[in-house]
Amino acid sequence: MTKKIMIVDDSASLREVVAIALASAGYDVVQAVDGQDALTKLEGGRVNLVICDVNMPVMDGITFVKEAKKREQYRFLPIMMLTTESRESRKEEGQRAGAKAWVVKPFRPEQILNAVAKLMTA
Amino acid sequence: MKGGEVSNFGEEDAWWGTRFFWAPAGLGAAAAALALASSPGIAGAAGAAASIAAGAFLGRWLALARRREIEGWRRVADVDEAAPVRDLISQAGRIWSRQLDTCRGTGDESVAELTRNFSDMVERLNATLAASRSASAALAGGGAGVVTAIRSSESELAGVLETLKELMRSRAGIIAKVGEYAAGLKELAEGVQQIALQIRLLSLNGAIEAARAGDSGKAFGVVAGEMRKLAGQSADIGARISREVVVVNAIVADLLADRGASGGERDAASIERAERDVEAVLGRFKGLTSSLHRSVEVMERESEVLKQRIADALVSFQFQDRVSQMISHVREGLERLEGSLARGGEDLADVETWIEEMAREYSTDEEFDNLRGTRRGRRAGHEVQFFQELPS
Repeated sequence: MTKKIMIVDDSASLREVVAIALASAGYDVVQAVDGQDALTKLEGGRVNLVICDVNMPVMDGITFVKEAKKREQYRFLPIMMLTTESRESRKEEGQRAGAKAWVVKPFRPEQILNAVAKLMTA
Repeated sequence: MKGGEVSNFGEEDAWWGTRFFWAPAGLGAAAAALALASSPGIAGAAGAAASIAAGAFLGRWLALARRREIEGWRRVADVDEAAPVRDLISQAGRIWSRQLDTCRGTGDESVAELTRNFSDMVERLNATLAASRSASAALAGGGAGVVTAIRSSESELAGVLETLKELMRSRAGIIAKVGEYAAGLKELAEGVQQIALQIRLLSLNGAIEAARAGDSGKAFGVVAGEMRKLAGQSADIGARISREVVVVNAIVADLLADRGASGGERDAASIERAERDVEAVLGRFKGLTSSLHRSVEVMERESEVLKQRIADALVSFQFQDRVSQMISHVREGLERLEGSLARGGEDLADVETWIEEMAREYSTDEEFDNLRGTRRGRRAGHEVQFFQELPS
């Protein structure tokens, strides 16, 4: 069964780049423009992994992770942060919130695919 | 601006505490001292008191006049300088914010479109590559490959040519055999004619002998007559066979003559020419297929390079996101400045705190470089950081 991955980012171009990389590896991709949109779309169907930006309008990435982890059905949903943030303090925030990995943009497609494969099998 | 002078007469200063009061008051005091020294007594005291009063009055008047003047300057400064500058910065700030928003939105949309186009190109390239690989496989290998088909055709055509040669040889043999049979038939026909002649002679002799025998030979005479008729018919048949054999022999002779010196050579030449033609056609096919095969190989190599270039471009496109974030933060900084100015600019006095607040939202390495005034250039290739142990 094809795995479904959600990409959450307010930048349309970044969503496209990630979607292309994931689609080329055979994943189904669903897109959300911020944390709130992601929470709504998570309700819409089974998602195996989320790749999420940190700085976004409406609801930022760290808040989204906290909100998702509050819900029983997403407690074990792996969430990977994909952001321009490289400060250790922000990474710690992400880790405390429940994120499983941190990737600093820009990334090479194979980096994301390897990380996704690792998190899927964890 | 007359800032230096204003600072000498602040709002908190009382008029009697300024140099504008004390200068004339001091002069009054000095005049009083002189009056007392020059005419002691009531007159001197009265003069001194008058001098002090005059100095104090003059000092008060000067100090108050100066305060009014400075307050006038302040009003002028408020109306003519600070307010228009604040208004200008505020309005320009709003326009710059909108411009930056447009830049950010347009840039992001354009790069997203560009990314989709590149993605489409990669998909088409993959389809082309798959088609060329399939064509290459069809050309090069497998039971149904074109090269294999050509090799197989070459072998089959060689077999066909060999069969043709064999047929040519068989045809010559058959014609020769027919010639031999025709010659045999001629001999047989001549033999039949010879036998018919002898039977005729024999029947003639029989008829003569039967006539000599008289009545007793009549029956024999009938037999001799029949024999003569039979001999005539046999001679006719022999003659007809001879004529047919002559025709057949003429045909065979023609055929043999045709196959003779020039005919056989012509057949051999035709076969050789056919062989050369077949080889030439197959050679051209081989050349075409190997050329096509080489083209496919080159196309595959170039396509891989192109795909790598497109992948690199997709990485470069991600810098749009960093640029977009930086633009957002500049816009937010402008909005903060506008807010500060709208509140009278009180928080602008503490520049360090204001900048610190502004930079709180910064996230990219480039923004921190710019904040510190350092420059380390564009960076890429951060490692993925996992927050828990994962099975490798």
